[in-house]
Amino acid sequence: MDSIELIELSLEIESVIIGERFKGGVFRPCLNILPSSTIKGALFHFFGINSPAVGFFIEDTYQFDEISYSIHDKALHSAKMPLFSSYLKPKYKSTKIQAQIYLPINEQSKKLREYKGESIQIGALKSKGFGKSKIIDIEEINSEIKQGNLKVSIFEDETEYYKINQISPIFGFLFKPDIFRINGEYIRALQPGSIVNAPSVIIKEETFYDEL
Amino acid sequence: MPSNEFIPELHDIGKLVDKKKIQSENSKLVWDGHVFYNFDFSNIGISKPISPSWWGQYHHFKIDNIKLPDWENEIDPKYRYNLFLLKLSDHLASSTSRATIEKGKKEASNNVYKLWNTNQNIKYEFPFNSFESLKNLFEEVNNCTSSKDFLNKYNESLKLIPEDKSAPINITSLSTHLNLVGKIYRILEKNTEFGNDKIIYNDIEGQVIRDIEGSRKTDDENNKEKGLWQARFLKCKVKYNHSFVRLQDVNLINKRNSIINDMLQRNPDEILFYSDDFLVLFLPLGHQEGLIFKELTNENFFIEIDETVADLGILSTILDNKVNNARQDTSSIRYEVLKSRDTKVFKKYLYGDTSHLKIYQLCEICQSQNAKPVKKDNVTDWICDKCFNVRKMGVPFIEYATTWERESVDVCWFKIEINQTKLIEWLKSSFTDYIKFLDIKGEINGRKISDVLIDEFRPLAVQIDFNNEFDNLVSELKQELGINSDFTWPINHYKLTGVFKYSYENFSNVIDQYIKLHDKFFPDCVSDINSPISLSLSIANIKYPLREHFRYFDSEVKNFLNISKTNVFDENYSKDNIKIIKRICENKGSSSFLHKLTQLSVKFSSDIHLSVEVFNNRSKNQELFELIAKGVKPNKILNIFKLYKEGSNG
Repeated sequence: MDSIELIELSLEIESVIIGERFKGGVFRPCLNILPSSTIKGALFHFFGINSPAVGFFIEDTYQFDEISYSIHDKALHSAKMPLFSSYLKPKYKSTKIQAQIYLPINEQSKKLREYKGESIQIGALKSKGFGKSKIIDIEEINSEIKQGNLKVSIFEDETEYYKINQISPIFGFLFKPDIFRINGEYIRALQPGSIVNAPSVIIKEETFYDEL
Repeated sequence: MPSNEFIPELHDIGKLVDKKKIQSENSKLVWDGHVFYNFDFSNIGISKPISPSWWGQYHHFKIDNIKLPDWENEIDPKYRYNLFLLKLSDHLASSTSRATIEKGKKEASNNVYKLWNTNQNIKYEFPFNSFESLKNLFEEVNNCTSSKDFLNKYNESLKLIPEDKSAPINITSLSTHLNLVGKIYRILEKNTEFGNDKIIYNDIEGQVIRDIEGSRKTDDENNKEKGLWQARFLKCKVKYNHSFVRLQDVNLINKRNSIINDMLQRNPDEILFYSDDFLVLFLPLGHQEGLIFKELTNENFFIEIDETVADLGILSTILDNKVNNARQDTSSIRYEVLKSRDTKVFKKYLYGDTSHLKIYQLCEICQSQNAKPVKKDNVTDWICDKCFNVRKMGVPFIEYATTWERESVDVCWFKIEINQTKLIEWLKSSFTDYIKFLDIKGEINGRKISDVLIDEFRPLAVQIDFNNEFDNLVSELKQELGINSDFTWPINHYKLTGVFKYSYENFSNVIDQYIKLHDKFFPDCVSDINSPISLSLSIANIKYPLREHFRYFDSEVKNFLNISKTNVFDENYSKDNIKIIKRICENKGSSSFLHKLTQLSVKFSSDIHLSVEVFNNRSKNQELFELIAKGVKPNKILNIFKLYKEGSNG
């Protein structure tokens, strides 16, 4: 059986907004998946680690809620029209949202071992306290390659680092910043639900389809 | 003038005859079952029909194991090809294997036994119920040139008459059976050639039906006999990633329906069945399904396909489940049989080609194309050309965006739908219960006939009948609710999704009508978390984003009834529970106790405290106590009560 060594990060998150773009100028929806671009961006920003990374929120640890807030108009010294944002919060009182992140083992990702117990922030509205996360565990794991439906989103050109073989992909787009991290473009990515051969830790359930 | 066409749907025309009545009037008029190949035409003073369709009367002849050129001499060689394909189609369209049925069937009634409405007994007249009408029947066989005309002409009777009067294959309407036979026949006809007493499909020659189909079972060692011909069933779900930002974006559903209607016109036989966003296709090997769906994928829809490739003898729309289950246990006999017969299952996603795209601004709506800025009301939306064209279709319900918005009303979006996966599971379990109820005795190859029947169940035809009945429910629901001007269905010709100005009275009316019609059309269908039919209601202020209502409708876990009040609660209910809960909440006698519980729920936010309070007052609130004792959480009840109280406080 084929397998792969990966680094597994376990995160605890207080609340988070993995936002899409504002809709209609007033509402920001929130996703319940962890895009590869979000995780990579956070790891680079806080630790300088540049490595492929994928992850997901553990089911039954989160629920949706909404907040409204408004931007301060400095010229007029008043609040602008309120905006609404959907966000994820813990499903049960006194608990936190759980997330798992996986990185291939390379020179960059090995540096993560030093950061157990550290805090990072992911997603939007960090200034309002969203996205505070703590790395509660880091370990190296071995994961068998199986056929199943993908639980994560990943850039198409990074699938090789996870030994992912596409069988029936669902494509979407994720934002990839340029080297200066000022601009960027949207690059094709595999979405959750894609049928792949992949490490079993990032598969929702095993499937037995024939390959075309 | 005799027709030159072979109309496969005419093969069962004998089932439209009131045989008992005719034979009681004239005992000389005899024929075998529902076919007339041995009928003495001199008894009615006409000649035997000479159209090609006449040879459909031989479809019950035992010729499956005989080479085509060696068939009985009385079957005209010119039409053996048609009869051959008809038999293959009849087998594929049947609700269970014909061979097993012959051994296990029991006499039943003239009605379709609807698994979801078992006591329905509709009296009807057979279209051919007299000596004179028999002449009309044979004229029909002789002169009919169009399947569509025949099916339309006898539509009302065909819907009421079962595929077969014998249990357990009396569960499908003759209308659905004939539709399926006709479509499958025409696909096989388009993709086969006949010459030198052989029929060629996909470069493979065949002369014997049994050889072409292979064994019709998969459950023991003896079933490894592979068929010569394979074909494909494709179960297709039309999906989209779009977020509806403005009301005009909802026109996407209109667009989808319009494209699917065009597809049906262009591929009337390939598409065996469709409902809303779900289609079942029957295709030969090598046929590119991408071409059928091209217009949809060009418009940023994507298609999720579950495809099964198998021998004609075992091909069914649930074979993929059997294959996937068998593959989890590679030591099983079924696994060996399916593997040796080269059975395949594929999961495919079809969508437009995006590999060449360079995207710098992603469309906010479809998230899959380059976007341009579109300014409206000082807000800039970034949308692609295709989504912009959808917006240009206009505001589907102008009052929503004007009058209702000005009034700042609360609205309730609602959606009623069928989950086809749950439907198949329920049909399988319901058919199993029916077989057990029939108590069929006997064995076949060492297995109980009843077990074999259950194993060989093919639910497609019953699934179609269920969906047709659901259409009737939805039409009546729209009729009942449409009387009230607060209700509207903003998507043209689309009855499944609507919106109304929220008031408790309107809300309660929707639920009451839904329950009443479900009791009328589906009284024996499961109506809890396993219910194939669900109604979802999403209540919020009109300014609340449209996207979130539709995201609620996309939730995977659905019960018979699902209610969301934004930022307040999100609950689901079985039919039995919501009936009782509404009764309790709307009963003035329970009001003060429920009011007390509501105050306690604010104080204690714990189900245990509330349950104890109900227990302590069970003598005065027996129904409420029984609900809690069954496991219904108190807040499920209180949420409905709060809506009721808000409504009555005006």
